[in-house]
Amino acid sequence: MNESISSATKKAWEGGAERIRRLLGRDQDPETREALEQVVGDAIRPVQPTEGFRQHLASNLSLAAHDRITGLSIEDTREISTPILLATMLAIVLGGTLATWILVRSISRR
Amino acid sequence: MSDWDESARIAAAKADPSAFGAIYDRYVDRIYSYIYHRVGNAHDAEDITSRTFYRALSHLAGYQDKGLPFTAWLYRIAHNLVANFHRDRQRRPVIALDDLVIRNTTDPHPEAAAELADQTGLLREVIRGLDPKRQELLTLKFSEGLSNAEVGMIMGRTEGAIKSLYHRTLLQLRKEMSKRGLDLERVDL
Repeated sequence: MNESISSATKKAWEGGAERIRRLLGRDQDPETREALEQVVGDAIRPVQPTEGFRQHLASNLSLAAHDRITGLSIEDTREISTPILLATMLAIVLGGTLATWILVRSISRR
Repeated sequence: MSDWDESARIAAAKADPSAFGAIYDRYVDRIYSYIYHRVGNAHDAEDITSRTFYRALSHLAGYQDKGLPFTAWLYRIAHNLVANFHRDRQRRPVIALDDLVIRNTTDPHPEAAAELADQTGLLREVIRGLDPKRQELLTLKFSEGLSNAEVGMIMGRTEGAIKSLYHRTLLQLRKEMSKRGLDLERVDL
């Protein structure tokens, strides 16, 4: 009985080990790896921008560089969300109104 | 271009921003290619490439040579902008139509060419489904042709860590390819 359990365990262990060896062997197979690298290299080969884009950006950068020399600074222009802009403007107006009201009130109490 | 003295060009551009044009001319194709493969379409690639060079121009005065190639700095800017792009959109990029016309093929049979384009497109889709770090690694290695050491400099990891990540990436890629029914024999070269 013990012998048969031991034999089955040994067989399972050997089977598992063999599968791992096969997997590792396949993964490390230089030909497979090379083929995979070729396929990936082909899928993500270098691409070039259009000449129009390249020249347009070169021209804009040249203008930005000129502006930097003359003291103007053109930074990376990120679009500001309209709701944020409106909320900021509203906050400034409300803040200004509140400050004026407090000032007027404090003056009138004197 | 053996007469390219990077340090001198950067110093010149710091002193006179109009000299930045030479740096732009040298690197625009590489940066565009890197961004293109990270975002998946020409429109967004052009937008982010523009932002990358504007940002490089405006931050050039603060650039310090720490022994890394200048491209590493440019790639970091591009990487951050691409990361912002994906965060903003909160989506995985889709395969753009222009993906299908990049590949030149001498195959005279349109059906075979279409099948090949489909397979290549599927493979790109699989690659874009990988973790961003793994995508970045593959792009830098294959599109830019950089060594593990150079990729390590850009990604802030050791050469050994990149080698290990690359190995794991190839294994994962193969697994994902199998799931999609793409095998190495079918993706004909």
